[in-house]
Amino acid sequence: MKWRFSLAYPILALISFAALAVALPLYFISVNSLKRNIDVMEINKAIQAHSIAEAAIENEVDKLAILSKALKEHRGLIDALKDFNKSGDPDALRKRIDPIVAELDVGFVKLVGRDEKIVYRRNTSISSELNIWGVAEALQGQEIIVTSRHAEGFAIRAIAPVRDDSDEIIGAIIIGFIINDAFANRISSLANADILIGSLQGVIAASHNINEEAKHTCRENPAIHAIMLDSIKDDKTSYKAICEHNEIFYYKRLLIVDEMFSLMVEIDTSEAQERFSITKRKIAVTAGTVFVISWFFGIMLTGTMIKPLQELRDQSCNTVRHITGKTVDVHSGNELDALIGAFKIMKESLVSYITDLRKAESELREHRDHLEELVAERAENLKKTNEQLRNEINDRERAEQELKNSNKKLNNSTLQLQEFVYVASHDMREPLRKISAFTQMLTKSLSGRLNDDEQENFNFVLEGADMMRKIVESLLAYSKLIDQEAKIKEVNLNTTIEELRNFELYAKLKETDGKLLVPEPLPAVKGNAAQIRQLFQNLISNSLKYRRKDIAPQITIHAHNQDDGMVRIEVQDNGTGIKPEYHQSIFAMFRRVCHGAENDGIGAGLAICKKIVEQHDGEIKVNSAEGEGATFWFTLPAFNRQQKEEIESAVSCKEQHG
Amino acid sequence: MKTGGKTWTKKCTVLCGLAIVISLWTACTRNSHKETLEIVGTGACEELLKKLADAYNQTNPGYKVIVPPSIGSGRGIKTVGSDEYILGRVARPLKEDEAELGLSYVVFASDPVVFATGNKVDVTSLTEQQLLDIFSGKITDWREVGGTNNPIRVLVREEGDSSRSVIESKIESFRDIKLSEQAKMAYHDYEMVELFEKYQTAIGYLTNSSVNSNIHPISIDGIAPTLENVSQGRYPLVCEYAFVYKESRLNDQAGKFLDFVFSEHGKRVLDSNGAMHITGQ
Repeated sequence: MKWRFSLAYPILALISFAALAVALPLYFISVNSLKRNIDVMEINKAIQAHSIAEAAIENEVDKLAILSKALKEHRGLIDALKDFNKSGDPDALRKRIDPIVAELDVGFVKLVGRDEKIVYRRNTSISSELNIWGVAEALQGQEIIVTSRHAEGFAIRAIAPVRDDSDEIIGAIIIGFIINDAFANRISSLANADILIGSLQGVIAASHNINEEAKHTCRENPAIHAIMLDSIKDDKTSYKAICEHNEIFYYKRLLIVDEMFSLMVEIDTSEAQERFSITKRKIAVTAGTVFVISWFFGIMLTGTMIKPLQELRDQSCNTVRHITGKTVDVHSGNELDALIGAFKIMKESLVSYITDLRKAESELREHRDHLEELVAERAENLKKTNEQLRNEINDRERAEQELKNSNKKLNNSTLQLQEFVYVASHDMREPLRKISAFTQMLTKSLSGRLNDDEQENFNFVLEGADMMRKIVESLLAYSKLIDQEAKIKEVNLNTTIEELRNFELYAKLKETDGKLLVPEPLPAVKGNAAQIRQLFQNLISNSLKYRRKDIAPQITIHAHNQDDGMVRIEVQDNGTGIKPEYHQSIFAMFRRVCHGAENDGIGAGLAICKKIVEQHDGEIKVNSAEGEGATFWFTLPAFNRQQKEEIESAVSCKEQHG
Repeated sequence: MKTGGKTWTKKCTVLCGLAIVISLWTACTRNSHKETLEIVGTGACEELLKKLADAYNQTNPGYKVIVPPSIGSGRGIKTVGSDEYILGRVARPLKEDEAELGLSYVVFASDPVVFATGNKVDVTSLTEQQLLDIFSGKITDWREVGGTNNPIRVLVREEGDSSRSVIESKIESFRDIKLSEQAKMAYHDYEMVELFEKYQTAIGYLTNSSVNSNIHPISIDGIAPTLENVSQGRYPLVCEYAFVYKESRLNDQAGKFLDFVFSEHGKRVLDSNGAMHITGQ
């Protein structure tokens, strides 16, 4: 994946920096203040220990003063010393003094005689007793506490004169402590810290309650000696603290009675150090947690900030790609750069789009202007055309009118012609009947008297008259077809054919041994029942007439409904057939295909058929070839229920009016 | 104690805070400085100066001269040199390095350093040799120098003390003696005074202005440490007290106090306290 620069990076960096800026100072400041606090605490501890040690030493001094006061008044002690002055028996003195001082919590006890000679000693050596400060003063009556040199260094002594009953000084009692390690330990156990006591000569006492090694190392340590000297000499030095790795040395000059010392306490800080490092770790963890939490929230913040921005960028880039087909380079900069890039492209495309739009608009305006011209032109043309059309319509109307007129004239002439035919045929029947009747009467009356030729001639007359009659009747019938008003009604073809079979054609069928077959029920048609009956009669008769000699005639009638609302009816025979060249002409009046004795007729039947079919708006045709039978087919209007109702209502209306 | 590089941030913040606090503090306390004048330095003339200050404060109400506890001549010079204080008190001449600080050194009194004894000593004069023997521990009883039978308690001052320095500079053999092991060391004149009271058979040395009724100055080779002997130069053990200050930093009040010290009133105060005023600056 190609690296792409995101605004998230600097923001994340900033957040990381901020988180660090929070966490690191938090850590360092906390740790430092903790360190400082712990140091101060430990130093305070040391100061406290120092104060306690100081107070303890002071306390020891006070105790010595009180004890010495008590002892110098002690009866037993006074008596013993008095007795000793008399007897000079040190053993007796020892025996009497020992129980008195045995329980005393002091370092050593001495008794001095009047002559400054030591007469009793306890816990102290012989050699240390020459010319000590305070003894002379005590023997002169002064109660004195003195810190002075001792064989082991320094000693604190309380020296009090012992007087007899007569207030005569008989000696002095000396009690005290040697400032040595034991004394240091004593103080140390009270202060709960190791202590060092130094003089100008060096460390003279060191405790080892807490730290066994310290005693030796400090005693030999020239640095410690130096700081002790400093503290003793420097009258302004109040205190100083030295913090070593696990120890704090706190020291201060200390006047014990009348000698200046340096008292140093040593505090073991390892526990505090350990506490410090534990707390430091906790702080580190806290700071780390703060850092992580800040960082986490920072990342979330960045996410919520950058995600929509990135989505906006992607959407914009997609939109740009979709609209302009151009690709925004999202790798070259951050989200905003990509967004700006997308915006620029969009702007450019928008500008070009608007330019195009304006151009198109102006073109459209031009086009519209042009179109108006065009429309005006067209309208003009249309107007002209309209004019022409109107003229044309007028012409046509005129022509139609003329046509109507001529039609009317034609109808009139047709009617006249029909009337003429009817009248002529009707009127011709009477003379013909007379010719036929009188000829038959002549023949009858001349019967036997006539030779064969004459007879034959008469027969010719009769036949001619008969033919004539037939023609006239046919003409009459034909003309009647024209004349007849259409009585339109439902015609049941099955019934019609059945009646024809049983009545009109019965004889002919029987005679010819013909068969009339209707394999399937025929649909109802609409029309003039008498004419349709005539139609079928003529066609069937025709088929029977032009039958073949060798086989019995067989006529089959089929019918089916057509889509155009007509019923197609086929009358098929197995007769002689018709040559195709006659297919047209057989439907003309007085046309026959062949003339023969058997096929008598005047050739009016098919013409009548055609006339009937045409009167029903149908057509009639023949399919046939010579010797293969013929199929006459014709169409008649089909009858349906709706038409039936119309017809019925029309009939009922007629009846009401009639 | 660890002072790693990590603490620099802390140091910066602390320093900034301190800078602000100090500037505020000094701004506040500068006013109070106008009201008080602290004279810092040696403990030798502490009592003397306190008396001068009291006299001055009484005559100048509303302004206070304070003589804080001793910090020593050396540190007094240093703090005035670093402009921490305006006026310092010293009991010794400036050393070479101190002279480079550009301080004015004005002697305002001379105080004789006296050898003295406690109440129970009846010896009033000692020879120089006797003194040497006493301080080195060869003579331990007053009987040996013509007194009553009492042990001699030797009281000394620490090395570098102005009184001790004066003695060591005037009596060269004193510098070379090994002090008695029994000698007690005092670190202040007042400590010395206390020791004299406690050990009434003692001998020691201190400034004349610190001497009280329990302490008895003695003559050396017959010359008593009187102001007359001192002024005539017969008694050589004299400690000179001086003020140190920077001329540029000397404000009106400090100037006024100095004027007071050298006034007749000031001279009277000095003289009545055993010191000797300085005339003719």
